[in-house]
Amino acid sequence: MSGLIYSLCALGLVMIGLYGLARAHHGLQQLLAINVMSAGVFMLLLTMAARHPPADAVPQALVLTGIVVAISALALGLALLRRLAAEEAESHD
Amino acid sequence: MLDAILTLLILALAWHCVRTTDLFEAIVVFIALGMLVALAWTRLQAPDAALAEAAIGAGLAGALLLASLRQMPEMSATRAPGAKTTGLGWFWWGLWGALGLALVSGVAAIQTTSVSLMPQVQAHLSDSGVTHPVTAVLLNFRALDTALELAVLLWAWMAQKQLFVPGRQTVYPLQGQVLKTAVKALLPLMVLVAVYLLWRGSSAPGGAFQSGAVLASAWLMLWLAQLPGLSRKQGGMRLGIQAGWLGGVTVFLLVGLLGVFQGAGFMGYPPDQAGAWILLIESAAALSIGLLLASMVLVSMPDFQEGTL
Amino acid sequence: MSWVMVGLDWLGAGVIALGVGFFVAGTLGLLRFDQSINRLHALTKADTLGLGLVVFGLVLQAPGLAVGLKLIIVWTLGLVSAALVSHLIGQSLCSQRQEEP
Repeated sequence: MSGLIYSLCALGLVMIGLYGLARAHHGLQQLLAINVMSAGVFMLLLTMAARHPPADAVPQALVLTGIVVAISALALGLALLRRLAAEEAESHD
Repeated sequence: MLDAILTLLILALAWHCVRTTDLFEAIVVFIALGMLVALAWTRLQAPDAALAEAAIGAGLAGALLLASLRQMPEMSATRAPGAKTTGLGWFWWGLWGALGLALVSGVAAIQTTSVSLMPQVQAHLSDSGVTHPVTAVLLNFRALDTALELAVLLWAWMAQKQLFVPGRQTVYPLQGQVLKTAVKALLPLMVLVAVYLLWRGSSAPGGAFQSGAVLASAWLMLWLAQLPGLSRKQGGMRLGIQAGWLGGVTVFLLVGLLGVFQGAGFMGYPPDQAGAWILLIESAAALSIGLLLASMVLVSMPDFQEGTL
Repeated sequence: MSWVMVGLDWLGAGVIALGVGFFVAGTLGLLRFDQSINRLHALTKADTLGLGLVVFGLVLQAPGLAVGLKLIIVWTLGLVSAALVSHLIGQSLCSQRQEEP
């Protein structure tokens, strides 16, 4: 039962993230939307892992790897946005 | 019941996070969302992932986002003047709905299958050198994935170093001794917790990622308190930091190559030595992850200057 | 299970419920007050007492001494970090106020 609820939650997160990505006006909003989507993907993997006890360790390890890759991507995206903002500020000066 | 409430809260927060036009609010909601997601994952019997999400996905990501926010143009500045549509056109709604339907049918199809790799993991657990299945998968069965993930982290940091612009803003200087004293008292405890998490990883939830996240926050606190921490102005420290950045991947690949000469194949370890090698890799990886994550947050600070790192 | 254990269990549950009440009050304050410094006041007061009561209730229900001690350590760390964070937020509010005029 809880498996079904959480797979719906995962689907909802992916769809909300996709919606946010489509209507984002600011780079930061796009990054947040992508991260909401990635949380949904991770949750789907973990729901799949938890179907039969004991929980499957392979998807859980994949999610752990994914979290670190996601934060790398977020940090890189933010660095790009900061650089962009600095260049724009310079061209206005 | 708890699961249903948690799901509703998560979805409501996610909706608010992408809908709001106040960027600060969106970030705060995103941090709260990360915490609730971590709570949901403990309900899904994934304490490792929940720990990592709470520390990295909510904590460090929140610090990164908030620090970057101050250096970015306002929301209105990026929107073209005169643009008034904030919703999606019917075409995009149609595409969105079709994708949603495809996802639902896809997930429903997976629900009926029952593939699990857990029997294989448990069958070989005694050869892996550790007793915690997730650590066995991360550092033995799928070690190449983890090595490549460390490489991705390193690469992302190198790219950020190239993009670096010195902070122009001045930050109000810290008053009083409260933070300094607290950091001095908490720092040994944080290092202890990091080492404990690393050691515990071989038999219970924990390991290099969680330990690295704690190390990263310890270093960040040291910097925030303006204590003489790790500064690249000193020559020896500079080399040490560079070695720390590269250490995780290097040690991992060297141990992996050693496996070739020992006949266990690339990234393979002989079962009787596996435990020791995994501990060595995990220590280097935790140090690397901690340094890399902390460096990423540090360069995002509004008042950060080049020479400090 | 002896009567003492059952009694402690119920007492613990009551204390935890009381603590949750403080959390709810603190959250209400966080949402309803308009100034950051008032919000901080509501949050720290309620959280300190709320967390203290929840931990105390859990200690009453704890299966052994080790678990109880761990909970008390958690509570101490929570107190220290809450005080530290409030202090930093307060400082940042002060600096903002000085910049404004």
